[in-house]
Amino acid sequence: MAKLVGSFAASHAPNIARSWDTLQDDTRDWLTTRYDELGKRVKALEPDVLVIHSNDHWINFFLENMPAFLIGVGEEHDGPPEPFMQPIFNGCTFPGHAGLGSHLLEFAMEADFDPAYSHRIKVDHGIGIPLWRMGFDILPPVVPVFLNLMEEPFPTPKRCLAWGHMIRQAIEAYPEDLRVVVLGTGGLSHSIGETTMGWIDEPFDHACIDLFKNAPDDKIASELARMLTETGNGGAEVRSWSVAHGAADGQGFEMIDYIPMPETLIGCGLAEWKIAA
Amino acid sequence: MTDYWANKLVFELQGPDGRDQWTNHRVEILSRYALTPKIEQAFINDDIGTLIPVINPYLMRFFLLMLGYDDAKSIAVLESFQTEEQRKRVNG
Repeated sequence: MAKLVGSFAASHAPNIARSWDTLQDDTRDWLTTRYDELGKRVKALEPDVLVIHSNDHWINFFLENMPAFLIGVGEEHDGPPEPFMQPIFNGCTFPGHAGLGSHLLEFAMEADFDPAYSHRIKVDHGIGIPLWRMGFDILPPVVPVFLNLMEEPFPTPKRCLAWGHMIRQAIEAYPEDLRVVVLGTGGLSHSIGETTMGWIDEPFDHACIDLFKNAPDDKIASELARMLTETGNGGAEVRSWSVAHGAADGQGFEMIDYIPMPETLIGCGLAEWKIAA
Repeated sequence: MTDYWANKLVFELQGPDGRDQWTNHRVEILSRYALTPKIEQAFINDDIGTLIPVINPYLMRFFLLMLGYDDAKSIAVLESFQTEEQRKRVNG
């Protein structure tokens, strides 16, 4: 049977890639060492598949069709199409895992979730940046899962936590012996393209970290639902962290590091939920 | 209030030639979308204040980049439309 061996979260700000060569040395060093640490921890778990939750950034979806949750079930996915990602991935494709992706889809439907699905998705910077900075020699197959965090209404934090629990159950019900790592990307606070752009809401970030460290699901759900109405729009991406938290059944949270990072316009955070053997 | 056509226009400018198209063929591009006269005029005049309430923020971010605004200029332009309540929230 498949097994969840790790759950992680990491920021994915576009400026990490767009401005990499011109970032201040301290910023680039911080990003290098922290994402290296994340990569080291993920690689040490020898994952066969990465199930990565992120949000589309107007690459795959427009207002004609905005799925709340979408699972990539294909054997292969397209790499990031954004111009600032081209020097990194240069039009390459990402290996998918059709077997696990299809299983997650079917399990979700049986569990009364109703995700959309795609046989070929464009994996944008939301997934591309953490994978790039983690530095895989050989990238394991990826099952991309998108949450709509672009155009409201969004899935509630409560629903995202429940989704995470469901994903854990689905992984552990998959008959093949696979070591699976869940990763949620995005956040922490940021404000993009709105009148408060550039605002990094440190109290929000620390409150999120405290919730993941200490709080039960119902408190995380209610507090995030309240807090997200009072912070910048990019804070919505903490829902991907909620998925990772749910997948870990709320256990073993450890912050790898956090820093408010004005150059990338985000509160930059990376975290691990240690899964009991 | 989301304006489908205004967002559609910005969404479809995301290609590599978007900036060139917008700079050199703006009137022709505007004619392809069923924009209200007010929104069409806002696009012609780079009237960001009129566009903010109807364009998704992430598309607005792209739109400003496409206009050639760096982060500092984007922040300054958007900040000029902050409400007092927003200003208080950001400044603690």
